Amino acid sequence: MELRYVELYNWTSYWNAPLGEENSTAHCFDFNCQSGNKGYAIFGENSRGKSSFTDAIQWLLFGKAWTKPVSTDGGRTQKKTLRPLVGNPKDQSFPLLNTTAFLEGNFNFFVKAIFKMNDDIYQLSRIAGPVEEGLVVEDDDDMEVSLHVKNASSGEEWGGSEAQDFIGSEILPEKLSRFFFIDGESVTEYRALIASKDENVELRSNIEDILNFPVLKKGISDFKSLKEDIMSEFSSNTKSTKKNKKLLEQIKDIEGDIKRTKKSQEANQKRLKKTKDDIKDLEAIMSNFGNAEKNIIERDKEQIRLEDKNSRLAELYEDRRGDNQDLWLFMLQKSIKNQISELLPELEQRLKLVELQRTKSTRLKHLENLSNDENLPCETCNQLPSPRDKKQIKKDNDEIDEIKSNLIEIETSLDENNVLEKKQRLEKFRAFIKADFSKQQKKIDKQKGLLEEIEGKVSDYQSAIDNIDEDEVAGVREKIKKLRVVEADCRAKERRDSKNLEEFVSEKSAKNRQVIEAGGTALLDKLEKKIKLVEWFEKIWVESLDRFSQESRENVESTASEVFKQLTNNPEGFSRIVLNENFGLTVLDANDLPVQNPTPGMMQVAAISLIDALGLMSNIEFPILFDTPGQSIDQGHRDKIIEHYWSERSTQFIIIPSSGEFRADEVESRYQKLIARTWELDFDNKENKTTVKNRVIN
Amino acid sequence: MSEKKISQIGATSEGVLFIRKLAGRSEESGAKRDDEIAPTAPFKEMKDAYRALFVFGLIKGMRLPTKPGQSFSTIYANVNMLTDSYDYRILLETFGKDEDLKDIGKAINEYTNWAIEEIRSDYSPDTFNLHSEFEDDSESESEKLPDIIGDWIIESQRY
Repeated sequence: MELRYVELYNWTSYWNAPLGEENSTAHCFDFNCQSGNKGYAIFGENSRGKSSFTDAIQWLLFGKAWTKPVSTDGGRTQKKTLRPLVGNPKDQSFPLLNTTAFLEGNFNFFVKAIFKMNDDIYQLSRIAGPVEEGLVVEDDDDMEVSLHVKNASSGEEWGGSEAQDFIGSEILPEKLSRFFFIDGESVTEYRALIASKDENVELRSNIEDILNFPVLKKGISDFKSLKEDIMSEFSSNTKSTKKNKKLLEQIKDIEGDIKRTKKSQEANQKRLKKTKDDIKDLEAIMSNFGNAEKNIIERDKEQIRLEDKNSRLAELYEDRRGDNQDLWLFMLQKSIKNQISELLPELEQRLKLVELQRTKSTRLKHLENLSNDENLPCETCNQLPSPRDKKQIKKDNDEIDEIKSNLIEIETSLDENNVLEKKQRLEKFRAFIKADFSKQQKKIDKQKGLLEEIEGKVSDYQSAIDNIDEDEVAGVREKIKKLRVVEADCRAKERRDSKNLEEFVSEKSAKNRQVIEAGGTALLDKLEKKIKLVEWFEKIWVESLDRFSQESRENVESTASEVFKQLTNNPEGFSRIVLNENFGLTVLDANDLPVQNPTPGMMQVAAISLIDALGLMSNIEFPILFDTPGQSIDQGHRDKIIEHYWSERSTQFIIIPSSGEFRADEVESRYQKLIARTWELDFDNKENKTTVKNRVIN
Repeated sequence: MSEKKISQIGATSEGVLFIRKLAGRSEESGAKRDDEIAPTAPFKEMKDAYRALFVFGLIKGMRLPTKPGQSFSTIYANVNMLTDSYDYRILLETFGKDEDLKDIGKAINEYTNWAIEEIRSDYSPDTFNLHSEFEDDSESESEKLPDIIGDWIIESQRY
């Protein structure tokens, strides 16, 4: 099988404009080459869309694309999750549709490829787009995906599940894909085989699948079943001894139990089937409603939000009413403050007058005291005044008259313009207003904005379900819910019945053996021989399986050892690779002793050798895509891996090195004779898209 | 100074309806709440609304003179029912005109009625923002106002 051509349209970082517009031509990788070489390489800096190429082929074949494996337990195991079809870039969900296209409202994307297989040309395409033309896609529920396979040579075509079955049976079974889509990061899984027996049950199962163990294991159970049938026949024909009679009665009872259990199983299976059919029918009805159910749920959610926001708005209005009790005082504050400031000069003038009044009053009091008693000491300095002559007395009396006159003037002036009283009256309107009216208003405006937004959503959801009978949708969902409970009951019963049946069959088998041991006739002898023969075949089958397993393991060991020696920098330092029955891998040194504390690089090379050996054992010819082949290994090993795959393998081998692993020009000049084609991916930051450039075409 | 005439407090019939609306009251007389408008009304009490409108008119210096023969509907029979313990006379003395003091009630009514007519036609409970023109972003008062306690000490020494 050869990969001939790959087209990517709006696939992850490979942006395209809507079909028919400029830049709408899909990004192409042409694998055709004249030289017959099998070496392909896709170069590019990190985050340029290299790994997306491998993801594209996997999605085309199996309809699944995964995120990069992430470890949540310190590197012991790695988990990956399925990538959604669409998503907003801000959600960081790694959608398959190019996020720029998503934002531009172009929701179509596809991966197409052409393969050559047995002289026939096959065209494969997986196309994703909105369920309805013109629909503004929000999530995967709004998208549909179609798969199409065409044999361009014969004109035969397959679609949907038929196309998927064709891919699984004729191109590449999904469970074996891990041997052809190799990721430097996922090689870690294989390294776990070297370290532990308990992990990677799935990986071991895949290895057994590739070596056809399951078919052989089924043979053993078939022999057991055949033996049981013959033993039953034997029991029914055995001679009627007293002991046998009792045993046969017991067997009959057990058979009754088996019959009842089987009947119950059948009835349960019918019920389960009917339930599943009913669920399927109801789900079909639900699907006729489109996104109605989702829209109803979303609308109800938004309505609850709406009620919540409305009640918050009512609270804000109530707060505003409370605050507005002081609004009039608030409105006065600025003017009152300004007014009081304007009173300052007058106040100062008044204070001066008051001060003058005080000084003059003191002087007056002093002079009046002198008049009353010449020997009264001064109130300020407590000294006796100097004796006054008549002239002085007259002068002081004149001053008293003048001061009195001045004081009357001051008093009148103070009484006529009582600026202090005015200020004090105004001060009574001064208040600290706790309320922040602007903030309150902003809160109301914001809340109303939110309400409008939610009302818009409610209205959108409502208009989407205007023609839907909501009661019917709810009714159907309720029925499905009830049927799911029935389905769960059926499954539980199925498990109980199977367990009981197993116990009954085992008990019957034990009784049958007791009957056989009690004696026989010619017919019974014949049946006994048959049983022995079947047991003999079973034994041979088990032994054959053991031998086959052993030989398969040895073959894998031998091939993996051969590859390992080619890939390692120190072939003389190692003897071989050995695998235990669980495919646990051990590297033996030159003295046939297990290598203690293997280095990460050695484990990486051993893991790659095992993968390669298993791929060869599968007899499946499918191109190998090796993403980040140089991870955890040095340059010497990297070169050996490329040389090995590009020169020794008959299938196409596509390496997708991360930046830093290989330099494009060095690889191209060194392996010129092995290279078929190379590409370089670039990323246009301006247009946010990956661009594909051809480099070498041999 | 002669004794000042003190009128009742009121507004035109449209003005009364508007003040009732501001306080979430129905158009009927009395304190009956209108369930339609009350939830978004900006005031709890008609007195709060009336006071705010009066201050608006007073600070703006705008009175809507009563037309000859125009009658006002009474809201408060006595001006004290509006002013409580506040001295509205000093407000009129300070921010109003001399003639305001001749009939305080009339002045209050006319300042308020100007404010009513000013905002009535464009009123909506969502855009009501009478406060916006009265924000004070000047320096804090403690830096500017005179020491009131100091005033009191000096004044008290007079006697």
